[in-house]
Amino acid sequence: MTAQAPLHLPLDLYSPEQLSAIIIELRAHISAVRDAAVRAKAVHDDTPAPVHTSALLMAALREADAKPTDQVATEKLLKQLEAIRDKAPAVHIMLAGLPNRDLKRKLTDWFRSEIHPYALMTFATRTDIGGGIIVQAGSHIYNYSFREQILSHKNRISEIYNSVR
Amino acid sequence: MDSLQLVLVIGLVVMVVINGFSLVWAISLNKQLSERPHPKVYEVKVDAHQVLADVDMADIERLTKQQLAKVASEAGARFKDSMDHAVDGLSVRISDMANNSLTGEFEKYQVSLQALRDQSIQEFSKLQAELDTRRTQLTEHLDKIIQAEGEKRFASLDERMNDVVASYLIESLGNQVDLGAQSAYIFETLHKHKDEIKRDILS
Repeated sequence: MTAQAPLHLPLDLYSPEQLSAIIIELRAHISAVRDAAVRAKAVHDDTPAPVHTSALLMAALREADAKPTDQVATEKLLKQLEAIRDKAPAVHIMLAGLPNRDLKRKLTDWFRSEIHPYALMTFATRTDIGGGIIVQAGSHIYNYSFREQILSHKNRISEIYNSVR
Repeated sequence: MDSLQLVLVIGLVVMVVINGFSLVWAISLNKQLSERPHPKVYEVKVDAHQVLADVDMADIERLTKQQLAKVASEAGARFKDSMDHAVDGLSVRISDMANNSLTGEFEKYQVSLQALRDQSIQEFSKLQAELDTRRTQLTEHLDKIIQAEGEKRFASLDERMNDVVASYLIESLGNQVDLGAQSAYIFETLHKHKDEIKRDILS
């Protein structure tokens, strides 16, 4: 018996909402695959089940090395995703602007490689912070924004002013 | 009857006997006096006008007047001299008394005045010292207040300037943020605080 390889979530699948949507979609997909299998046995019809899966679900299936028509593999993937949804830590990230897909993927990759492999993230925008990042994990908020840096070190302004005067 | 009463009765009897003898002796003496002869009394009357002549009486009156005037004059002179001496002595005495008394009183007055002046000087010296001390304390206190107020105002000014500059910097950052340019800073910051973030997420 070989050890089961850990599931790698695709980088585009970063938020709990996406994961919930994928799970719902995967359940529907599994149901469709199961219906197609029953129908094939009943009428001897080898017509495959219609495959209309989203890009995220396709990416998840590809990371799990599961074919969309493989009922066992998809059911296994569903269980894994449900376990991740229940246990994965959620991180809320605030930036000064709306992050593009590339930055989201980079941040997701960093958190999953450095913090937790199944970290899920939500992104928000706060234009008043000027730049930097605010990370909210659980009850803690780590404010590394430009605004916070300026305000926390504003006493240095008078020191610099006095030194160059 | 006790001894005291007996002594009193004996004394009383002795006194009665003595009185009796005294009465008898007085009667005998009276009898002797009445038997002695009485001296004869002669009445002599002298008439001065008949003894002395008229001329003599005038001379005597004149001499008497002269003697009386002389005596009166001498007595007046002596009385005048005596009065002059008395007045002079009294004047000297009064002057001495006045001088002595006034000098003493003046010296007492001077001593009192000097003591009062010394006491006043001491009191004024104390008052001056207290005033100097109080003035020094007030000056130091005022200096401290001025210094504290100055530092407070400078601190307030620095704080306001910091707020102004910080607000200016934050406003200057604006809403047009290039997250791509900030990504290096963001990941560097995340790396720097990775442990504390990880500890909080996994706890």
